[in-house]
Amino acid sequence: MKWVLNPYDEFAVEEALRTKEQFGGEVVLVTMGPARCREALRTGLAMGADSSVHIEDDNFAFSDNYVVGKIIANEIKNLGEYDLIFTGFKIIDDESVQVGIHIAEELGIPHVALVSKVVRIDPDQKRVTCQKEIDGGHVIVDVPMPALITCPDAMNEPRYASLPGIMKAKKKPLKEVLVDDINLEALGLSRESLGKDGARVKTTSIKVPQIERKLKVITGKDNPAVKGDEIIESTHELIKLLREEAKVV
Amino acid sequence: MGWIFREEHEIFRKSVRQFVENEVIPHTEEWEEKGEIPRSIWKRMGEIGFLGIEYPEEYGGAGADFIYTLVFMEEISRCGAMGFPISVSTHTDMASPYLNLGTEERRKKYLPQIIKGEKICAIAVSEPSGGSDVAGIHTYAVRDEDFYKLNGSKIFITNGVNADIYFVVARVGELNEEDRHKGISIFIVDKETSGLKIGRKLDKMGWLCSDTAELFFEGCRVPCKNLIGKEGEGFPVIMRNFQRERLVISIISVSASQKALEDAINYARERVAFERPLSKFQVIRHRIAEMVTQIEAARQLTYYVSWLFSQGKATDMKVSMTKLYTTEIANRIAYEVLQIYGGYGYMREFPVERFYRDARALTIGAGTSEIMKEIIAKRLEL
Ligand SMILES: Cc1cc2nc3c(=O)[nH]c(=O)nc-3n(C[C@H](O)[C@H](O)[C@H](O)COP(=O)(O)OP(=O)(O)OC[C@H]3O[C@@H](n4cnc5c(N)ncnc54)[C@H](O)[C@@H]3O)c2cc1C
Repeated sequence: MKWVLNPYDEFAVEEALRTKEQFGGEVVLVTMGPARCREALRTGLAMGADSSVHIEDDNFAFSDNYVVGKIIANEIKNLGEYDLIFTGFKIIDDESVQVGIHIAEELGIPHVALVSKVVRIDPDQKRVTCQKEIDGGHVIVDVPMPALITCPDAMNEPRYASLPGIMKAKKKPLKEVLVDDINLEALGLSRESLGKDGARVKTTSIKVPQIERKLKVITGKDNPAVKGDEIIESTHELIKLLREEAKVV
Repeated sequence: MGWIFREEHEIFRKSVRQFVENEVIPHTEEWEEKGEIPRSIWKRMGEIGFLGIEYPEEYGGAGADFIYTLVFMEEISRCGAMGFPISVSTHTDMASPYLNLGTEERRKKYLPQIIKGEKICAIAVSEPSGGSDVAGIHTYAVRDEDFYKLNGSKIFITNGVNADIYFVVARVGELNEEDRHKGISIFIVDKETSGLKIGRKLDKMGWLCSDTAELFFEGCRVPCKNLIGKEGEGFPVIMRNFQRERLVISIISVSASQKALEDAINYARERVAFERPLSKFQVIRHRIAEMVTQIEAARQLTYYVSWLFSQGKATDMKVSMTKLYTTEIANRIAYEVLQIYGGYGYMREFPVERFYRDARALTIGAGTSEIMKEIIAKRLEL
């Protein structure tokens, strides 16, 4: 199996880079996940992000969204001042649509979900104006910064990591955070609340839907070499199936 | 990831693969029909840093090593039209590296344009009278104050029609039978140079989207500062760059064969004959098993020698073995995969038909299989 970066997060990275290109500033990538996530971080750095934080510890594996949101929010706080946080609006593995919102809640900042376009950023007034698509139109939302924006499908077209970018990324800081580096009590968490066992939401099973084959092909015997009674035979079969199985005649 | 590639190589691979899927594959049909690739794709590759992989940063390159070139060539060779990697690699690996031995002043002038994809390069060695015998070429250069005057002609020159910068091999002085290599010299010839005439675009069997031309030099006036290295001492320089050229051809051979085989395997799984998928017939299963094995062997040899090359340790014998094996295997595979497709394989609309035609040039260009065997035999002191 090939692991890929959550595509919505890719839109988030691209949007952050575009914002930086327009207004200056710095882009820091923050992720929580196993060692293989490092490639995604390096890709983001190669695309143009400045530094990254990787919360990497097996203790966090399969934690619920509440814990993930708390831990990530805590790391963001540790980074110091910030203006905007971009996240994917959901993750494609379990389709939860929560982490971004949890982070905003933990940080006590406004969030705008499913932003199709960042319309305007006013660095002096410290406000951001966003556009959201709704059925038959769009909504313009204006919020004070810092704020969190969640990014939907096709928000932008993420750039390729260029080769010079990849070479530069090798020298960019990649901070690693382990569970021992985090004061869990201060966050109202404990070791027991982490991981699969601590999760408040339990996934009981994941199933691939069984697809029933509805189509039946009866090979036509229209080959002139085939004798006449065989043709009748397959036609008979068809009628029989239409009557007995499909129950349409 | 394999022993040769690191994480950053895989990140690069992903970029190139996306680029090929989004910006190359949708256009290959059109390029094949036109017999060339457009300027815009060169500029685009320049933007993403694909044309300056190993060149130093001061000229706009990425300062990376040959393993990145290996990744790049592998990925662009999966586009389904071999003319594309051929045209690109002629620019990046077969022609422009001669500047590494030119003067700093020439590098400063040409490399940034080459890396940005604003100017396209070609390498002109082969002549109507012969391509295998590089020392036996007839194009000659005569010194005339601050210029050299070139006379002669070249044939089968990839990018020949659309190039802006030609690296041209010519002899200075008479052929010395005692030392045939002496006198061979390399010149940078700008397209606008008076006395350079570009012949017609040659009609080929394959590699259709790479333009191929005949060139004529009629008193073509090339400034002395466009001489690469020392006058008359170009032969070893050419032989050295042939190693890179041949390795790149090997990479293209393996990767394009791999793609063709993957397609054929899918076809064999889906195509039904006698009420069974082709892949269930033992003869087809075994043929596929054999091909997968051959490609794996070809790939590992290519990786190993590419790694040696990146360490400055690849001998011409090893490179010749690689070029010989990978290009011959590509042709065997072309024959066999086409057979799996049956009549469809012979039809223009099936990519395997193009692969079959494209593969044929691999054992000829960049030194024929016979010449590879001669080099190996010579190193064995037979
Ligand atoms: C599509 C295409 C693109 C090309 N692009 C370029 C390019 O960009 N620049 C460039 O300079 N050239 C290019 N070439 C030319 C290519 O390098 C030559 O075709 C090749 O080196 C062979 O030369 P030749 O065609 O003159 O064949 P010849 O040298 O005439 O050889 C004819 C046959 O004799 C065999 N032979 C020759 N000498 C020996 C020997 N000593 N022992 C045994 N057998 C021998 C050869 O292997 C071959 O089978 C291109 C060729 C093709 C087909």
